[in-house]
Amino acid sequence: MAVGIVGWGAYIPRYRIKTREIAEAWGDDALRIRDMYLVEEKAVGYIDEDPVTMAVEASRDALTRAGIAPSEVGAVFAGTESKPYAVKPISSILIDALNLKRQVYSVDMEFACKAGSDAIVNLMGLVKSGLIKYGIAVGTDSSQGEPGEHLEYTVGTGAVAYVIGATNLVAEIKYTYPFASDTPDFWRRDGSPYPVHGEGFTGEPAYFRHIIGAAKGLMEELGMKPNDFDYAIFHQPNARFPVRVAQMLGFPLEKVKPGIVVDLIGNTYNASALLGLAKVLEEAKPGSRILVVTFGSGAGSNAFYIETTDLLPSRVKLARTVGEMLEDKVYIDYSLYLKYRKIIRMIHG
Amino acid sequence: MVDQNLSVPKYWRKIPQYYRLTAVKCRKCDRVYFPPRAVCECGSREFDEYELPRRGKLIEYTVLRSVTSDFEKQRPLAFGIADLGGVRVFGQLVDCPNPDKLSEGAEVEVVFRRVKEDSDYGIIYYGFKLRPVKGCW
Repeated sequence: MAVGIVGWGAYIPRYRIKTREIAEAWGDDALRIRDMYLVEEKAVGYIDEDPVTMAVEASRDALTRAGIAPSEVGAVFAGTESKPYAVKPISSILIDALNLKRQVYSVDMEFACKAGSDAIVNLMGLVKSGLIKYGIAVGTDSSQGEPGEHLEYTVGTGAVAYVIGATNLVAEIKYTYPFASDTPDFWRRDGSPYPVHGEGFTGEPAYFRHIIGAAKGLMEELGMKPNDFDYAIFHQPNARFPVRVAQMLGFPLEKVKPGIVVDLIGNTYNASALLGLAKVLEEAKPGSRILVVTFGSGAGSNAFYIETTDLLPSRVKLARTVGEMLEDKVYIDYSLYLKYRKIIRMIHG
Repeated sequence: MVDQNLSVPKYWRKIPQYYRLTAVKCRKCDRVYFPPRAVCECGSREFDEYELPRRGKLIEYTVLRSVTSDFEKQRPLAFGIADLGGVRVFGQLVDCPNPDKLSEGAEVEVVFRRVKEDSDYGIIYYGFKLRPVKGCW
């Protein structure tokens, strides 16, 4: 049975802050920072936006593109590492916001930035087994970057949602391949407001080892080479990492560039690579072969081999596109950034 | 003790309206009511649920610079009445950093946002707001 993407939706908040603006606040050399991360600006949610509100927006568009009734959805899984509630699910809010039926499997998933892609894999299994007809997988994050620390330059805000099913596919997910291990590259302890990087672990032992492990494993099992793919999309904590991992795997820049969004909105964590995929779906021709490899700290990757169908082009304009949302922006200064992200703590609430 | 400023049951009962703009449509005369009513002007008590469209036009708006303490940090607040498929809905206008740029007749879309929260530990109240499609800055 062929399973895959029936519809997709994305959400990027309207506000942006430039890397230069943050660097000026902290006395950093903006050119050096931009050269390190290749991030020009990042998306910032307004004071009333959070991973729940963005998940609703993205999921509504995914349902619109899928062209299915909410009552046909049998599961909704939300991948995030920045839940507004430590205990109280995003997925149950989605049930009522999207008017899904009560008989829905629903859960929030956490594996740093990887859980949104695990939601897709799990839904594929439920669809293949016949337990559900359609499911919604969401990746949504508004994660934390401590003011004055380098993470603040790249931590963005955004969400993406995919309706997974076996009929009317815009893209078939032909194969998946996981690669995971206990690697302490990045974590946030319970109750801690900001995450911490394991010194020296971020690059080689974490991001590169897991993405290359998953990508190579998938290609070896299928007997495929980088030449067999039209697009390659990787998790993007900054714009340097996905370009470098592509080089290491043998993908030319032109196959990677269309799926990079981090340079304009920052790292959207659980939405990151999946938002890149949404952007690629907006331009890909039917029959395009796409490699997507997600990554979550802790650490693990999921690789996907996806092939688009003839139904894809007709669904693009049914909802807001990533391209439109990248253009729809208002710049804010650092003081508004602190206010909108609620980083200024008020003594009296 | 966590502050519970707005009754949780009161919020929970209105989730279909807060989240999805669920109105009712009279089975006899097709009149639509938001918020829902029990009896139609035609006398019928038979309704079907009806979700209002998520795009419409701004009919009227106002900008508040003196606001209640819950919203002090969001000043100025803009509120408007939008025509959503012939039904007039009152709501907060968002993503509008310069409310002076608002104009009657502007296209607005319904968005899902945080409305209020009971301190740092209580419930977060979600609901609909209105956003000018072309922005206002």
